[in-house]
Formats: sequence, structure tokens, C-alpha cells
Amino acid sequence: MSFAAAPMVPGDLFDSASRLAAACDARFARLIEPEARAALLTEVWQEITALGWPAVAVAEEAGGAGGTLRDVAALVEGGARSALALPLASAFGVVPLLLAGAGGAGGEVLAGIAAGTHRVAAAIAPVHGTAAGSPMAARWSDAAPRLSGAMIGIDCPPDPTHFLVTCRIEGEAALLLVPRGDDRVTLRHHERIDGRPTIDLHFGEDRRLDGTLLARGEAVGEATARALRAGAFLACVEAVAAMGALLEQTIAYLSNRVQFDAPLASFQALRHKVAELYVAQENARALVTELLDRVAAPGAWPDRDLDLAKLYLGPASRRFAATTIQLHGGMGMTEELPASRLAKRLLMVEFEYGDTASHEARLLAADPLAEASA
Amino acid sequence: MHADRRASIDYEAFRAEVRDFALTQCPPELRLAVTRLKKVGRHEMCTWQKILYAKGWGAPNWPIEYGGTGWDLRQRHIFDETLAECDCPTQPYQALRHIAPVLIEFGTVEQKARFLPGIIRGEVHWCQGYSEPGAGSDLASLKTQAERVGDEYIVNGQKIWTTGAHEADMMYALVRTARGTRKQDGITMLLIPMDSVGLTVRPIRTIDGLHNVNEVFFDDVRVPVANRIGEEGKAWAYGKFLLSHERLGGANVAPLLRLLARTRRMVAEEFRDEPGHPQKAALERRLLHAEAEIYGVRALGRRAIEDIVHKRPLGTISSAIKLLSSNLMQTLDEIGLDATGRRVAARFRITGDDRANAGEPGVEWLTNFLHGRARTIYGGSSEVQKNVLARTLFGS
Repeated sequence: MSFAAAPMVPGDLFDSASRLAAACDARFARLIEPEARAALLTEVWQEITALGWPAVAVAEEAGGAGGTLRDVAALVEGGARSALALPLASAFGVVPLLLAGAGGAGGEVLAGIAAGTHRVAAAIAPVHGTAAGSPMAARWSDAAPRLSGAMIGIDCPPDPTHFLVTCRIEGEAALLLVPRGDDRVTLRHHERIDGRPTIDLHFGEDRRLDGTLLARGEAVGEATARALRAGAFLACVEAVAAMGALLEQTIAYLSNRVQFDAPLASFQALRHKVAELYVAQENARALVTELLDRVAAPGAWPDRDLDLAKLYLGPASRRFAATTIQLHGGMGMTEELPASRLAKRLLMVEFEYGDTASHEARLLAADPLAEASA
Repeated sequence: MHADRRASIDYEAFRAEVRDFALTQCPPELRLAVTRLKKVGRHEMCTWQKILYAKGWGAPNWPIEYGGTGWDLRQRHIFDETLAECDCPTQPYQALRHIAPVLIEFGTVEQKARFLPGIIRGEVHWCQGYSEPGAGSDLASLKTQAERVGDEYIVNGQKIWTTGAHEADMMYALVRTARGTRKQDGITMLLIPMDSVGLTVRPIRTIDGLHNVNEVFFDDVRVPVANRIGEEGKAWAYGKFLLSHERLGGANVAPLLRLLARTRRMVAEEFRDEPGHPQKAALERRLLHAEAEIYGVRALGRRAIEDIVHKRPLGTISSAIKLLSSNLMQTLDEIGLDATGRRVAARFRITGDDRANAGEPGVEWLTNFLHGRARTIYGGSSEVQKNVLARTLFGS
């Protein structure tokens, strides 16, 4: 094979995550029953905890390693090369950023995450709150939040211990911590298109959730906006990593598979499609690599450019997945092929942390005539 | 470019200096021509080149001894980017960026002394004689013959798609002096005065209604041997050297960003009286997607420049940049067409008694769309770029 995707965040974390994800994928692919898959993911999560990954982006004073979003990106990038069916970005990147908005109240949870005793899933109202038929609604009842409807499709670690719910209540941002087993909330379990576990939270009708409020106010709103952007950006990092690995596998497949007495790699129509994939992948890689540096630099994040990157990577990931499935022919339709698992990971990108339409609407509302850096 | 020297350069101050010069010294009518997507030819390019030369900024990409500025690669990139941002016409690129580096690399002392001053001063205008009716993307199939007789070559044959031949004083041409076992062998580069006896230029009317490109016929044209670059029969290497310069031109995304901003303003203006028109929102969304992709190319271009600075091999990056930037230009051209087409497509040319008057406002977007089709054809077509990439990706 003559093409190998270069890592965006090379180093020990990337290497370690790549190895772990590859080993997990080899076992995961053979399992059909959801229970067996869940058991494997639980075992891998324990391994991840033993490696100290949950503590990577937790501040040192809370018992963490004091790393940055870049460190989380290294893990996420390594994992995505084998479509690791675990929510590294959400659990290790998004959740600590949300808890930062709670000030001191978040300290205990962060310490639990760093110690590996807390496995926290993030339910973010603008992303998970739009269940068709029962959208999530919230109001204050004295100082207690009252929630109705459902939040759906929440990316979560195996056997989560807590749900961190962020939403707006009568215009004010609020952060709630709901422990698993709280009988005021009912759960439904699913797998995402790429095999990751998700959970729906059903609040019923106007359920009063005393004792769950962690923080409220401006800081929570700011932390939520930042966490959402981080989640969307980490999805972009995963997309680029998956594209690189998928391109490697597609080139290898076309080089080995013989039809009409010739390797598929000798047909110009297919070669040109691979060249187009490479160019799309390089463009996305350059864009995301540059943003990794800008996000790591001191000062405000380049919010508009981060939004544009997610806007671009969503549909680009879908096109990439569709083309690689086509290039693998019938084999591309099988679940056992590693390439098709990467393709399914890519198909998910568009729907994480805001879909294409929501990003378009947000960017257009911000008046591009005034803001474009052109 | 040593690390300690780079550290002492204030790039932002440099950018501000270039910007100030461009905005105060580039004649407004030249900048307006660029803003309005008008044709930019010899007059615009050379007028601006003379001004840049007087400032000492005539040839940033040349070594200092020939009139270069001594800027590092980042400064040169900032220079190009800033001039494009200010809507200055391009410099006479075929002379300055294509043939001059070849002259400097492979030319004799005498040739450099003869040709470089006219180029940097904007006095001598050049065109490129490469493509032929039977040799476009497959350039090595070129057939224009040059037979050596004493101190001269006698040239016979035809070139095509020669941009600016009708305005040029000189042509740098690839001609065949021998047939080798490989068709890339036996190709020679000659510098041919356009007023040579036996040389005829015939205009080609292109689909955009403009006259930019030409056919050039050679009928026993005599060219002194002193006008040959390098060795006889070895010019394929020189031509490739030149093309590699042409392809990295896409690393400057300032023209893309300018066209993006201009298209956005035009869409706002075009639908000013119909703010709720569904087409307006659709076009604005397409502009956002194009903008995001342009930022990717910008990042790739910056990476290419860093690779050159750190002497890392460029690999496939120039082909990727060429493919992306040409496609993105066409994406923006299409948005321009979709915004104005309902008005201007049926009113492309004025044919009645008022022909002397200006055309329909906005018709330049239609012209630009048609003109822009060439972007994925010249400088190595998209299909050729994909062949080049695939060869590297598959290792054969």
C-alpha cells in the first residue's frame, strides 16, 4: 500500500488509542447479539479507565491530568481509525467542558470522572432535545426544574452512572445532574448507526426534578456553547481520521481485487474516484489540523470557522462513505468489512452536535456579509 | 531564509505596508476592472508591473541579483495574497513567473541580460507556446518542427490556445528538434519574437465572447540559435520545471476569497427587492459550503509553503490544490450564474442599434461562468491531475 494517512495529533495518546481501537474492532465485528457487544464495550471501557484516559482533560486540581482539547483529539483520532464504538469525544471532551460551567459544584463529578468511578453522558438540549412528538420542554417550579418530553440519542459510555442535562429553562441556562436509577426518568437504549450505545431520557409529563440542579445562569450557557462546539469539532477530527483509514483500506482493496483479468486499481474510472477521495480527505485534514492549532492557542476560539468546518465535514463525510461503499462493490454492503464500519462512522458525522441545516441557519443568522474573513 | 532572520520579520507590518501601497498606488481604473470581472490583458498587467518595478517590488520571486526583493517565501505569499485582496491586476505572470524562473535556472548569462530587464520593467510582454491541435493535455505529442540550419532554427507548425499572443512581443515555445525513443525526448525550448517573418496570429473567439486565446502559425520562421534555452532536445525537463511553478499558483486563495465576497454581495443586491425569494437562501447556503471548502484549500496552501520552507518534498499537494481551487472557482461561477441567469442568459450580447452602449448589468457573471470553464482544462486538466494522483496513491 502506497498511501498512509499521517496523524494530525501524533504521539503516545494517538498510538495507544489506535492500537486499542484496532483490537476492539477485530472482536466487535464478530459479535452479533447486542448483549455480547455491550459486554465487550464495557470491558474495553474498563481498559480505557485503567489507562487513565478519563482523566486526560480534567484539571489537575480536580485530580485529572490537566490536558487540553488537543489531547482529547489525539485519543479520538486514534479511536476513529477503527471506528471505535465508544464515546471518547463526548465523555472526555464535552462533559468536562460542560462541568466547567458549574464552577465548584462540578468539582466532585470531575474528580469522579478522573478516578473512573463516574461514567457521565451529556444530554444537550439543542442537540438531543428534539424528539419528534415529544420535544423536551422545561420550566421552573420554585427553584426546581420541571422537565417534560424526552431527550434522545445521547451518546453514552457503557453502563453510565450519571446524565448531565443542559437546557434553557425560561430563558436561563441550567445544568442538571441526574444519577442513573433516578426513577423520575425512564431510559431507552439503542445503538447508533456506527454501533455506539445511546440512551433516550424520558421525563414524562412535567416531572419535577428536585435535587438535580448543579448550576444555572450565564456561565452554564457559555459552557454549553463551548462544549457543543468542541463536540462538533471532535466529530470533525473523527471524520478526518476515519476518512484516512478508509482511504487506505479502499486503495488496498482495489489493488488486490481482480475482475476482468485485471486488478480493479487499473481501471481509470475507479482511479479517478480514489483521487477525488484523496483530495477531499486532504482538504478536510488541512482544515481540521489548522483549527486544532487555533483552538489550542490562547484567546477566543474561532467560532465561525469551527461552525464552517462542521458544516463542510458533515456532507463531505456522507459523500466519502457512499463512494467507498460503491468502490468496494458488493463487499461494501457487508457488516464484516472494516471499511463498511468506517463508512457507517462517517455517515453519523452529519448528525452529531447539530446537523447541516442547523449549522446553515446559525451561520446565516450571523450575517456572513459582515463576518466573512474574505 | 534562516530561522533567526525569520524570527525578526514582522509579517503583519509587512502586510500592512503592501496593502497601503496597493490601495494608494494601483490606479483605481485597474482595480475597478478586476472588481467588475473585466478582461485583464497587457495594458492592465504591464501598467501595474511598471509601478511595482519603480517601487522595487517588480519580481519578488527572483533572486536579488536579478532584481528580486530578497523576501522569504511567507512574505512573497503575503504579497500575492494582499495584492489580490486589493483587486490589483495580476502581474504579467507568464513572463515573471513562468519563463523568468526557467531563464534564471537554465539560461545563459547573455540571455538573462537580454530578457530579464524587459520582463521586470513590464516593457516586454510574453506568451507561452505549448499546446498544439494534437498536443493539449498530452503535451509531449507536440509536432511543431525546428530544423537547425547554421546559426538558426527554421520553425514550421502551429500552436493553439496561446493566451495573449495578439498582445505579446515574445513567445517561449516548445518545439520538436528530434524524434527520440520517448516522445518526451527531442523537445527544445526557443524564445521567438512575435514580429518574426512567417509568424501569423489568428484570434480564437471563445465561448465567453472574449478574445484571449489565439492560434499561432509558423511558416519557415527563423529563430537564432542564441534564443534556445539550455540544451537542444532537453526542454521537457525545463517545461516540467515551469509547470510545477504554475500549479502552486493555487496556493494563493485570495482570488477565491475575493470572488466569494463579491458573489455574496451580488446575491444580496440581486435579491434586494425579493428578500424572501427561496433562491436567495439556497444561494447563501451554497456560498457557506464553498467558503468552508476554501478555508481547507487555504490551509493546504499554507502547508505547502511550510513544506517548501522546511525543504520537505511537496508530493501530491500541488495537484490536490490545483484540483480544489479550480473546482471552487467554478462553484462560485455557478452561484453567480444561478443568481443572474434568469436576467442575463437571454441577453448575452446587444445586437441592436445601441450596440455601443454597455451590456446588461450583471452579464459579466455569465461571461465569467463561461470563461471559468477553462480553469479545469489549462495548466494540467483535472483528469490529468487525477491520473497523477492515482499513480502516486496506487504506486503505479
